[in-house]
Amino acid sequence: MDRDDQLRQGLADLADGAGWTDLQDRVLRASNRLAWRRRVMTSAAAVAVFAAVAVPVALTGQDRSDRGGPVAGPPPASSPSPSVSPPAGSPSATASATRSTPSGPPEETGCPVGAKTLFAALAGAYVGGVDIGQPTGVSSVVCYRRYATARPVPAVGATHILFGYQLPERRWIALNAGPKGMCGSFVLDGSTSARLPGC
Amino acid sequence: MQPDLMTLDLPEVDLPVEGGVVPPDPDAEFATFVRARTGALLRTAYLLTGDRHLAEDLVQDALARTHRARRRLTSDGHLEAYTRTAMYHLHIRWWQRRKGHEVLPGELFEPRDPAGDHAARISLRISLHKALAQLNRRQRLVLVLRYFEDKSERETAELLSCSVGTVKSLASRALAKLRELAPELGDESTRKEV
Repeated sequence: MDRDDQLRQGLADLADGAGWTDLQDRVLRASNRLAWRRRVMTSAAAVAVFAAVAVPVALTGQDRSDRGGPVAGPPPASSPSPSVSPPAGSPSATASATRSTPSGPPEETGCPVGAKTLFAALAGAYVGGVDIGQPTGVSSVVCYRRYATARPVPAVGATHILFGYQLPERRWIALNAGPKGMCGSFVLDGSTSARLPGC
Repeated sequence: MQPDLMTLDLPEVDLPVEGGVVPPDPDAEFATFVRARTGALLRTAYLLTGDRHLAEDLVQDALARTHRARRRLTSDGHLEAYTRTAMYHLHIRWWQRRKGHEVLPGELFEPRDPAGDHAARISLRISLHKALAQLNRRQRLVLVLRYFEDKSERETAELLSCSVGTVKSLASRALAKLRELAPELGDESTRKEV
């Protein structure tokens, strides 16, 4: 038995000390805690986005009405602006900046998808523990067959983020991140991963 | 109650997929996966943490993340791959949070030894347990992936999101340190006996 085999044998022997425990109930409780934590973080992010968009819009409208007085024109802008960020999963206004290949009906593949939609999907997401910095957005979006990759802004080396389009909810979720090989654990076949940078 | 240790060494399980096409209920599939693979996951986690309770916590957290993602993990192998990847990354993140407390506190559980030179194997196991505790988390992870999980250097690099060169370097340093801390590993008499 050579040294490597001896190490293998030693590790296997040592691993026998792990014992066995039924983790089913503990896993479900931990999963519920995770879901709750994500809901809280998503809600907090939504409130922050709303505050960041709605407050300036409301203040601008107030300013206009103060200056303009009772003249005919567009209605006061105190009502919510229709240009607020699109709902998750729908093609975004920034989709023109993305690169996508026709790979099926948009409602089934999620493509094309915009940077804003993918960035929204990052809120509170677990991306395999990979450092993606403190992104303020994403760029270089590439979308193909229910998967998309994008780079965090500001960039962290060659790190890309992998997103998946979830059915039937029709929403994008962040799956993993990494400089390369981040798609290996997921549902990607070779032809799909070949089209996505970072895979 | 502790089950028979022989049952822990499970082979790679082919989870039942009815008809081979229609995906089964994700909840039922996940429950089957947890029952079948908890033992194997705990073995790896125990080598990474050196403590049974920490190993259970690590596997529990990794499985909880898999449970959240179960509906998009449509194939049996994906559940295992996702759980293991989560486990490896969580292991590194745990130790990043607990810097300065890297001494593995676990007591060495004594399994039954069916045959062979019991004393020599126990001695080697104790040395190995102590030596692994002296490695840093990445070195320990690389050793476990390469010599326990039998992953290739390329697979290990992909799992850890690093280069093959980094894996080689980590493994080389870990082995050198292991030989220094556990000379029994290179000892001829032990080799014959184990």
